[in-house]
Amino acid sequence: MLTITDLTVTVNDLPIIKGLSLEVKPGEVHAIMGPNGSGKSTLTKVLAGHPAYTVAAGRMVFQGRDLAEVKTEERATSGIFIGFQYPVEVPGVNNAEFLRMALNAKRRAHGQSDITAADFAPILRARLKSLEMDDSLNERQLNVGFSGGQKKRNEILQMIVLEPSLAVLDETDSGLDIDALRVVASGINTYRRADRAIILITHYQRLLELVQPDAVHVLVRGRIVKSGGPALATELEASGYDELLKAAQP
Amino acid sequence: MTTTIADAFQQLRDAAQARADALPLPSAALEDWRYVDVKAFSRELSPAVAYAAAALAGHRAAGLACAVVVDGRLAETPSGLPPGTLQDLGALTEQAAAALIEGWSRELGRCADASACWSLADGRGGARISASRAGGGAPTTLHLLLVSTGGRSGCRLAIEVGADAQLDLVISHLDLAAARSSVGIEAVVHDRGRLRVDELQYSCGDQATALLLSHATLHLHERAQASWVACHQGGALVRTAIHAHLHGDGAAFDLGFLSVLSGSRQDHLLTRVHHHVGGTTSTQLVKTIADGRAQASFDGLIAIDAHTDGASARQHHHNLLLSPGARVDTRPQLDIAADDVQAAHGATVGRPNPDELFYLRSRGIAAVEALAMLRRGFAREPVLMLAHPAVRMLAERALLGSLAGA
Ligand SMILES: Nc1ncnc2c1ncn2[C@@H]1O[C@H](COP(=O)(O)OP(=O)(O)OP(=O)(O)O)[C@@H](O)[C@H]1O
Ligand SMILES: [Mg+2]
Repeated sequence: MLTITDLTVTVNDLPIIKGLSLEVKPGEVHAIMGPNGSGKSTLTKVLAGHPAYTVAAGRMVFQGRDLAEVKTEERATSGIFIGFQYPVEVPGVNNAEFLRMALNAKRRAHGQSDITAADFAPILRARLKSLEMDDSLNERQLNVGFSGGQKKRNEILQMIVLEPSLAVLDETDSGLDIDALRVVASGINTYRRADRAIILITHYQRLLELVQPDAVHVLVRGRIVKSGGPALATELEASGYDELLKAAQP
Repeated sequence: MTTTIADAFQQLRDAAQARADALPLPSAALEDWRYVDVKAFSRELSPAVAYAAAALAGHRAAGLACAVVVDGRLAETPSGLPPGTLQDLGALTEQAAAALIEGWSRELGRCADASACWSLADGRGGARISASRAGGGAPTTLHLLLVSTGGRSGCRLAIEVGADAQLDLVISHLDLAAARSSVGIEAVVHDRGRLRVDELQYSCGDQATALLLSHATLHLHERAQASWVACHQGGALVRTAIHAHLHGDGAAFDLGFLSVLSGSRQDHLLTRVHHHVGGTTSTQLVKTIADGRAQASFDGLIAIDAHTDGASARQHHHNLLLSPGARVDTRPQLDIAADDVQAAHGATVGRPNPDELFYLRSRGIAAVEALAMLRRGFAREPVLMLAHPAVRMLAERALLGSLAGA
């Protein structure tokens, strides 16, 4: 589904990701862990085509298509979803209306007709309920004044409304209370399917106990320095990143 | 109209013209009068009344029953209004006409610049609009469509909202051709009365032809409320001056003002909000979206008299510039003589936020559409202040649809 080969990403000519390779197949869940500032969020932004990040070398291929020439919005409509670490507040834009616009953008890209507000309302209500979210959030402006946890849930809501093939969730578990973590994990598990893939970026093993990954990668200073099974997460929880950091010293 | 009243109005017009000739144009510091050829708008009227029909149809489709003023003259009155709500100036009693003429003559003496005299000097008519509690307390709603078809015209509206009465006024300015039109409004809201004005200004085609001057003076008595919410597309030169006087304890005035300007359109706003007693509140929210080489300005004064403890006034001016050629000037002024008052003001100028744009695009929304969403988002607050949902729709369609890529 997603093949990243020798990817180097720079910001203002400063390399942040330095030769990263990753292969994610349909049905798989990959976890990426790593110390602060190692380039995890940068990877999500470059996957989404953020203009501030330059692909200096390497390739990202999604469903057989090189992403180099694909615009941000088209990456989304073709099935890539990023649950951002810091969701942006957009004043004046209604949450429910935004969700419907986003869904319609995807439907249009697939030759389907727009869904009306009346037809969308029951769908949205069901999705909200599955995430135990308050209906009133939909009358609010997009993420404006949402608490940290509400923002994260709103990202998952967008994911299950848009039904992407690849979901990259950047620290969606940070800032969630214990109940919210359980709800979000169950949302992710319901979303999980043989034809979909997930990349979970997290600092904590907690989430990985609820959503079992197929592979765990450790990103240090812009490179994947170690990969393994779910046991690797447990190991890191005990040992920390010290050894790996020393080994990755430039 | 009897000859005596007609003569009296004519004398007033002549006096206004003489006064306009003697006074300078409004200060050019903020407004680019220099670049506008005022003479070009001084031709005689063209009889293009038919054009107005098309605009009317649009308003009717939105469910707005209108009184129509064509080039300053009341041309059509809707049926179903409580008796006495809308009276053509020409149909007033001699006594009522004399009272208006006397008030307006006094006002002439206080005009600070020529433009303030034009609604009288170019005067072709007008109306007296009144609402009273007698109707049973339900708000009286009146839609006024002011159409300019060319040449020079002026119109006066004298508004009176009785004690405990409610009046909702929707005013649409529509210019169909190069025209200089001036509208003078004087409104008195008596104790506990409420006046809500929704105002739209736009032109039929892409051409920015209008030279539109509006000046409004509002007098609010005890616990009277007034809101003035305007959505403007701008024109060759559009200028609005609003003077609000809060005379009575508990009086409240709210202003919402949205300009959505493209091309070389201009829209200028001057406000003077006077708190004459304590316990009065005022808010002003002014927002501008400017594209192309458009220009806007806001000159807003809050004046709070001495011994007016407990007065509260806010004023905010936010701008979204869509192109490097667009310009917005702001001049907030506070003149506070009292101690225990709350006054706040602030102004911002920005461009579309790239993080917000990226976030919307990352959800599949195309850049052009995402930008339009951000503009609508920016405009939302003043649009929501409009009292009537049908007017909100018209505002969004007529204004936000007018920008490139909308
Ligand atoms: N737009 C930017 N401009 C400048 N530097 C940036 C930018 N984006 C990322 N960086 C830098 O790149 C490095 C990696 O940042 P990134 O956000 O990807 O880390 P992370 O692994 O997600 O960290 P955390 O665990 O704290 O979320 C950091 O040093 C950061 O300061
Ligand atoms: Mg991060």
